[in-house]
Amino acid sequence: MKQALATVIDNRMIARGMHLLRLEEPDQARTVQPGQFMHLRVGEATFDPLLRRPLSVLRTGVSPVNDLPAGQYDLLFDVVGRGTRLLAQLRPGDLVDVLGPLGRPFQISPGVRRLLLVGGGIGVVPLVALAEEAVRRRIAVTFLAGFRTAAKAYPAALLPREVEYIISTDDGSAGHRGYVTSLLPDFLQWADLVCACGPSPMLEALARLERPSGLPVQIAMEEHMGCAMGVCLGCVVPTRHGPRRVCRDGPVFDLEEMDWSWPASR
Amino acid sequence: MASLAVNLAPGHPNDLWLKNPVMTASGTFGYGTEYAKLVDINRLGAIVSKAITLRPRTGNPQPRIVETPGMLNAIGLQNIGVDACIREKAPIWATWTTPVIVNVAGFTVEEYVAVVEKLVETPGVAAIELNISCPNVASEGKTFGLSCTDAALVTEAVREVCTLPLIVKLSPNVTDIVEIARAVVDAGADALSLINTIPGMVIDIHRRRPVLANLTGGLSGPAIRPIAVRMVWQVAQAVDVPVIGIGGITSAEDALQFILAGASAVQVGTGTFVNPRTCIEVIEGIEAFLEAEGISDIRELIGAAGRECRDWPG
Repeated sequence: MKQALATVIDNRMIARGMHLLRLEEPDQARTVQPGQFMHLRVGEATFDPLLRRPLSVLRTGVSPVNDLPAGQYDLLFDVVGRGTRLLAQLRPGDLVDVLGPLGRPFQISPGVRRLLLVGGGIGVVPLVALAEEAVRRRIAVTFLAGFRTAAKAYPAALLPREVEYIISTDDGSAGHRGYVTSLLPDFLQWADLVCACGPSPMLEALARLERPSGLPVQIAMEEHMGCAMGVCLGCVVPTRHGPRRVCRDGPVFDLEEMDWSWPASR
Repeated sequence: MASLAVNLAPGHPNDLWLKNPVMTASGTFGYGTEYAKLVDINRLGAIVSKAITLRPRTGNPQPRIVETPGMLNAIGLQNIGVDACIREKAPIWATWTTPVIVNVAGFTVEEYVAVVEKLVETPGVAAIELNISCPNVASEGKTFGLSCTDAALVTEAVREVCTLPLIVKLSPNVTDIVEIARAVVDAGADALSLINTIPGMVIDIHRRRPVLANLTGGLSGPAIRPIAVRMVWQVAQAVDVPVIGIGGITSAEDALQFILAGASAVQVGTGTFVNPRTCIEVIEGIEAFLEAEGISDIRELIGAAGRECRDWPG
């Protein structure tokens, strides 16, 4: 983990409102693990917007599964407000102040053979990184992903060929119609590890589903962040052991750890 | 090289000498260890810990923070409690050359006293900063720091047991911060730090309700700096103990404004979230400024802006 100026290599929209930002910073590219994130300063000399923006890492050049040069990594984000709008305007050659990699990554224990990924919207990002790592380790991967509509879907072409990619859309414009969680029951018997990331209602639905006993489920949580270093306590989520910080104790948690009795954040 | 050292407790037998006047603000540097990979802890003037209470606290529900032109927070004093602080954190602090000042919060006078009693016996704790921006259960939940009587009451009670230098951190949410400052100094404070955050609110227009679960939160960041500089100016001219300036510092230039207004030291808070190196850059920037201006001791600058305007009506 370090604070560094990363160089923008590329920045383009790959689905409606969804931007792929490619950065070069060899130490960060070399050390980042699936599930971890980077904390980006939006402008070098500005304090408005004030806070950094946490973005999950999509792919890293260290992986032999993609064609990224070593030393580079991809971030993917939805434009949702002023900060991300400014990030979407970065041009090749620009420098960005990046803190990272941060957070606790997904853990694939040695015995895992069949990995089920469940993503909702921009929550697919850390799962793409995990899919690449799993493919490298010759683990079978099925990736269920839900989006609002076809134009907002993560493109299959940006996933390793070995991944079985099944999508659903709320409006039925691509793949299955409805929520991604409705596809889940068919795959729960097959998987020996489930990893998920997406909006709180999706994760809560996953928590309520009947699952084979002993099937481990890891989830990556999202929360608005201040420092991302574990001090401001702005991003905590409720767990059975009390509040835990998404930035430091997470973003990846065991589903069993979570306490869903607290009201959802947003 | 110019001297940057300042003494924050000249009236206390222990003194509280800092190698430079740049400190971290409570709640923005955790227990000091979290940033150790990014910041050379031993270069800092002092570290102020997260607010510590008698028992551990889980804090407020989400959402706890929202970005404004600035940042609004309502964390709810989540902390590990004084016993865990003494057991787990103080032994680490004791190995640093940079002093650690523990920020103490409470909801009754007795709670404040109980926490401070435990801390003053603990190696690794250099001083106490009293957070009086908490509701007083015995006074219908009215915040200690908003009345001279309550502020003086808690300061006096803590002073009796506090063998370490005692800093009292003032709330800006008052009609006249000068009279609170005077009351607290009369009650025995060795130094004052100001300002704490300013209460604020952000409303989600689509949900038609405040964004924060706590409804209101404390505003911090560059947006509050001019208010803080003005209050430091007023207080520094009214009391004869050192004043520590806090509020929206992101650069050496910002810090120097506070020092010229009368602050003997400054605390960097939200600025650290934006740039973890802010404290270090402020220290380096102050050194460069002193050299460029041909000043050999930072203490020459403390309150210098006030001396230039003696006819100020305040």
